[in-house]
Amino acid sequence: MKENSNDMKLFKWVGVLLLVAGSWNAHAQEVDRDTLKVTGMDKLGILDSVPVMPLPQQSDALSFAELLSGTAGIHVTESGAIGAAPQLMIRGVNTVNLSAGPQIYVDGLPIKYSRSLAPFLSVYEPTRFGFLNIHDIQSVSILKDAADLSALGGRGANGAIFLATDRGVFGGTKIDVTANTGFMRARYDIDHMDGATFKNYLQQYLAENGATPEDIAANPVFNPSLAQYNQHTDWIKMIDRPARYNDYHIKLKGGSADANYMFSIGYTGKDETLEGADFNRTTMRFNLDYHLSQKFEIRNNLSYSNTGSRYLEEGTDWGIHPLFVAASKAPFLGKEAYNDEDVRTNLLADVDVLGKSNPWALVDRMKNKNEENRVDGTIAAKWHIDKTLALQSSLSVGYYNMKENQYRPALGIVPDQYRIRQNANRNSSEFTLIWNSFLNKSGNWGNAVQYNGQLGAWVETYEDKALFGRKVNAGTDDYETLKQGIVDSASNVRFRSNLSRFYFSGTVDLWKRLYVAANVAAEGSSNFGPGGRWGLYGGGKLQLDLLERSRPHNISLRAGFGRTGNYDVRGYYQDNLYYAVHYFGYGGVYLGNVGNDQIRPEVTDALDAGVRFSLFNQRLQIDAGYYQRVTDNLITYRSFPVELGLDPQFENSGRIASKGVEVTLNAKIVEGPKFSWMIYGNASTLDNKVKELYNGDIIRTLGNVSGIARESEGIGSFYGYRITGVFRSAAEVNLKKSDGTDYKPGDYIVEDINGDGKINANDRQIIGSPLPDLYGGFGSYWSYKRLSLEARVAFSYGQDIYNSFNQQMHLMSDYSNQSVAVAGRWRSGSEPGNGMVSRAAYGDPSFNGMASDLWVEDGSYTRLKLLTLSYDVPLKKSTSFIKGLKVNISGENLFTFTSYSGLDPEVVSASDVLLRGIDFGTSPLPKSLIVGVKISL
Amino acid sequence: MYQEQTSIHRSGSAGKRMGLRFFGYICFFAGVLLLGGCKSFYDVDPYSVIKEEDFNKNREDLNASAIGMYEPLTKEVHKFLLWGDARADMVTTGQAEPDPYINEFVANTISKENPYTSYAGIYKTIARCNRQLEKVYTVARLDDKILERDAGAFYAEALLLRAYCYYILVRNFERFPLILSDYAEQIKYVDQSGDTLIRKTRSLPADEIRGTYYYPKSRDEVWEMIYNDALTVLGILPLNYQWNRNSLPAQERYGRVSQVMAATFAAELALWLGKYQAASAFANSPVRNSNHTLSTSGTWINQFTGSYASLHSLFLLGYKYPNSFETNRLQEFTSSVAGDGGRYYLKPASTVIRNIFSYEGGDIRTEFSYKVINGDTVIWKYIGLDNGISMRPGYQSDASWPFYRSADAFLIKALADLMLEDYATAFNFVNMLRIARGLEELDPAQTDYRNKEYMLDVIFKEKAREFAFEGKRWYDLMLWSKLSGKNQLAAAVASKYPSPKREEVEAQLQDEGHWYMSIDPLLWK
Repeated sequence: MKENSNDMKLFKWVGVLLLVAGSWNAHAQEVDRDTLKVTGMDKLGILDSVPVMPLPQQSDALSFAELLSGTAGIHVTESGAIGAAPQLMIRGVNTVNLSAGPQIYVDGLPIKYSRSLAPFLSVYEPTRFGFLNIHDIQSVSILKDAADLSALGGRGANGAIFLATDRGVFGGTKIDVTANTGFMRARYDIDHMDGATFKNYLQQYLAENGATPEDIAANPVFNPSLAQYNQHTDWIKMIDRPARYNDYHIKLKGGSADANYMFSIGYTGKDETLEGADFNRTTMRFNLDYHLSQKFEIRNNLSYSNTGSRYLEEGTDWGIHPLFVAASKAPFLGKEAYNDEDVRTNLLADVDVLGKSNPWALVDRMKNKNEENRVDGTIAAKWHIDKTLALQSSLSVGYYNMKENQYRPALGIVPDQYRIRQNANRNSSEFTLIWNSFLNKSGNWGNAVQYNGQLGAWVETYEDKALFGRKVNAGTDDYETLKQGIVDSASNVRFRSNLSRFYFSGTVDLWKRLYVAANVAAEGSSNFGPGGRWGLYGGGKLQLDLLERSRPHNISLRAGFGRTGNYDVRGYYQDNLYYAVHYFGYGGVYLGNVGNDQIRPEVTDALDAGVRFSLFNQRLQIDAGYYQRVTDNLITYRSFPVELGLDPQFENSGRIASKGVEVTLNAKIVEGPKFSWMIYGNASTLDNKVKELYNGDIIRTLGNVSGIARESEGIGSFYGYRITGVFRSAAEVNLKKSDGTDYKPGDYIVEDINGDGKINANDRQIIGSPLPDLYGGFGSYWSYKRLSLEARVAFSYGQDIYNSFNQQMHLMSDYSNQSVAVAGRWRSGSEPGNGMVSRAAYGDPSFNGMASDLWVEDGSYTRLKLLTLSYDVPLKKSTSFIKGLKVNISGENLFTFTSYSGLDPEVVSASDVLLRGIDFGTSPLPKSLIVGVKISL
Repeated sequence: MYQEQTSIHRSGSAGKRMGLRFFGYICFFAGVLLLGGCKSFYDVDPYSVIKEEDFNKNREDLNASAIGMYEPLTKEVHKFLLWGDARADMVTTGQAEPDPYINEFVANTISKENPYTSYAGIYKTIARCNRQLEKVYTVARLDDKILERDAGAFYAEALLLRAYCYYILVRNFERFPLILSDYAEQIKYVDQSGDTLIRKTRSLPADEIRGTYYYPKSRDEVWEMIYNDALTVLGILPLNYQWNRNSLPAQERYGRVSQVMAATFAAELALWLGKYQAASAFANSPVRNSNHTLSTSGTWINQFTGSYASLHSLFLLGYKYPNSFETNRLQEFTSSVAGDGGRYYLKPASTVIRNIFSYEGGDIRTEFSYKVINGDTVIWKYIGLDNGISMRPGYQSDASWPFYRSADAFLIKALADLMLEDYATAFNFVNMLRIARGLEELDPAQTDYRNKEYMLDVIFKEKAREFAFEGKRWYDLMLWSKLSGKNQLAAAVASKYPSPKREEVEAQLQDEGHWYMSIDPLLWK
């Protein structure tokens, strides 16, 4: 539900006041509703406990990332594109050219959040975590503090998330059967003209672009007697749909004194709310913990998953963007073709006379498919040498394969330049092998001091490969594979990386008041040459409890620091490298990279400090903290003076910083045997700026929208022109194009920031920022006897959205249906319009479609992410073999308060940090209603 | 349970076990350190690129580097059209509201930040040539199959291509530096106190790098350097179609510089330098070479409809579309059909169609150089596939960009001999070309062929027909001015504009300083 801006503002302030006054947000994730659960991640060299976040009882999430909205310390942006990776950000953006997603660990196996391959289709980036069924997740922990991340070495700069899968427990076999089903619906309220209005506009458009009345009269499109041009088609309604969600999962858990096991198998199927896009997944997991003897334990993980998905173009390729084509295609045309006698046939209509694809062809006939297979396995052995000393060694293997296919037939779909038909295929894989061993010693010195120390080594090899091929212009649309056609392009890439880490970490608890943790790691990576290969990382933290821990009230102070880094450079830039080129059909080479033996990982130094109040036996917990991160040695391209004839070269130069305040609250307001009520909330602020860029601005462009990294500005700010109005007449025109010719009446008036009277690239400026200033979430949990209700809300304020879809709906540069607002366009000196919309000029010769502030909007929102009602059905043990039966009903994304005019204020455009917050008209997050049951046997 | 067990364990022979245990730890960590600390563990070979240590070992490596030298120029040919033709008299815009930066060339109002003035691609070729020049003899020592003359051929190829790049620069830009050594890794320069310094390129900030540049004191200095380089290579480049004793396939014959190209280039340079005797002599080499003739009008169009044409082609930048999908942007700049990738639609100026092309008879150049297709007058050389209406498929912009054709040598010869006042030879060469293109030969009785000014006009008109829209007109007008001692460029270029723009442009171009583009590389972002 969208509300107008006044309501939204009111809600916003009420929400913020609530948070500030009483519902700040506390370590919601620290409290698992009833008990404080923590995860010790000793496998990674983190000895300190890390809080886990509470998982919802029911969700239609395909990956863990969709569960994180509103969680403290992490900003999550989702889209409705099925299977797309949500965007995650922990305490800001800390890089420009390297991977910016947090590092994910699944049972200790590191997996990059974003892949290094370019999107196969425009901007769609599939989640890499569809393989992990959310029912298999035991805990999710978000690592954001300086000292925790420093233990991750060159992987910690963007924060990290630790996922632990469920394991067997001592006792008889317990079987959980979960079945959920539901449907989803999204509203596609897109402002566009109806058939009659559009036909009228089209006549005016042709006239405004030089067509004579005779030309227009002779155009068959305007012939009222031709049925093929006098339809009433709602193209959007044709391609949207209520989507289905089905999820089935069986989990067996059990164990004896010697062995514990967990086995699960699951299937999930989910549709997008647009035709032609869906996701299916089958997962299997077997986790086994085995005591070979009283001193020796073995731990096994084995998992396999297969996912298949089909998705749509929802990015910059407007010609095949089903939603844009549906909105911009003439409603007076129809889905089926007409023959020469103007009689409708059963055949699908081809590309129409106005140059638009058939939306049905885009969702039904065009196919963009992914198939993923992933196998992970871990064997870990633990030897309890004595009471205080243990040696653990593990071998982990991860293999991941993805096949991406595109089939783009000719019928009903605009050609891609010379490619009338195309079949493309990319097969990529990743392989990771890790051997990690460490020695752990714990104990105490007297009653006053408890210690825990760990010394370990980690050796890792990683390889990814991708093979791409595309064939075009097969003889007919019947070929959906690479069988026919001519090879249009092919590529083969491979990247290998080896890593070793030697680490020590230790904790000391003094007098049960002062807790000190520290870690240090030396890490060597083959991504760098001898001069920059070894990185030294480390950190420490200190926590002081002002009162004894056993008391009902406590106040603790904490402070930490740490150095972490980002070593994810793919390129062997330490060597002189010769790159392949071709000329006249012959292969040649040139010196593409000049060896930089000093290139080294980016380094992030972080500080944090905070205070925590834990009152009334932990029924009220308030935590407030401050963080600051500075990333130095930013890896950026250095452009040498052009006369040197060199490509830009990577080097370490630049600095970026983020800082903010995080507040969390958790309150058990009522805690009785029958009724309990809990509220929780969190809020984080973010100030994320580029501090130094010795190599100057970095600008990247997607579609027509540019993002910039510039000193003293927010990272990834939108970079474009400011519009101050529309020239109403020739007399008003006081600006020239760069060649000295005058703008025309009806063109947008651009702010001439250098005052030279000419508009060119030098007049671009920062016009918005996609990063939020304030974000977080809050919620409440009620339970009465066997009934419980939970509501979770997420909010994000201060971020801007570049509404590129809306710009396309006002562009008037071709024969597209447009927003009804183009009625206010400049038409002539006597009809200058409302001064808000430019003239309608075919081909946009005056660049009125440039990126400008006209299309930048406030993207703030507050959204009810989840509302779940659960009921534990009472069972008579004597009459049923069923041990538990729980019924859930959930609604997701039921209400959204925002002033944003687009389909959804949550916008995912690209994982590239300079290209975020651009709305290309991706499907909005749907409202969903899920009904489910969980049976315990 | 665990505690009980460990306590039993502790009660055993602790000392001996502790010793074994620590021995075990040491072995374990030593193993890890050995694996993790092994140098080869970090020394990963890249897959799709070549490391320096594996490259520049043999003749194939030198040849691959040589091919790589040409590649940047293939991406610049649309600029050559803008620099040499769009700002001259033969080309104008076909669009009612043209792209501003493109139109700056058409309107002769080129701004310093215009990205189409960027010479970056040319300097890329210069850099690759410089590196090749410095590597050739090192590699030759490593591969005993490379004979002295082979090494010389590779050396001369790089030297000649670099000289040709400076030839492009010196005719176009007001100011540009001479980069004559490989700056990729280190820069050798002389500081203010006269000391020669060698610094790592990476260690120098951009301003200091620019500070090390040597800017020629005069344009003549560049001309002399280019001329000397051309003369140098004449002695070491292999003759016709032979490259390291192998016959070259046609693509390499015409797509790479050659002895015959060097001779034509030297002849043209000599003409610019006023060394007419030398120009005439150097032109003899291609003129007498039986592999390079004026051929016939029937085969003339093959130079444009195909990648090259035997006898005609001499040196060109070629594109192999069928296997390698190599294309240029000429279709984008000359086609009027948006569906084919046409965007900027530069077209022949009507004055050219009226005054330069010959309608006397079957001049193939008049028939083919431009055409009227669907009501649009278009430059046909880069989009046509025959002398009818067949066009290259959309986006398949793979027409070659000719730098030199055999006809160049004949007209250089004509100009040189005219300047030497050998009027009869000059006249004969003009007639040879006319006949070869389907025109009647000029009647000596009816032609004032001993009138130098008149004959210059005749020859440059012939040149304009022969090389129309091949990015040469601006420089021909410059050369004409030089040879005639009179500014021919200003009036010719101004003639394509209506008044008062005509007078304004003519006045501006009266100053020869304005013939060269004034640029600011720092603004080409």
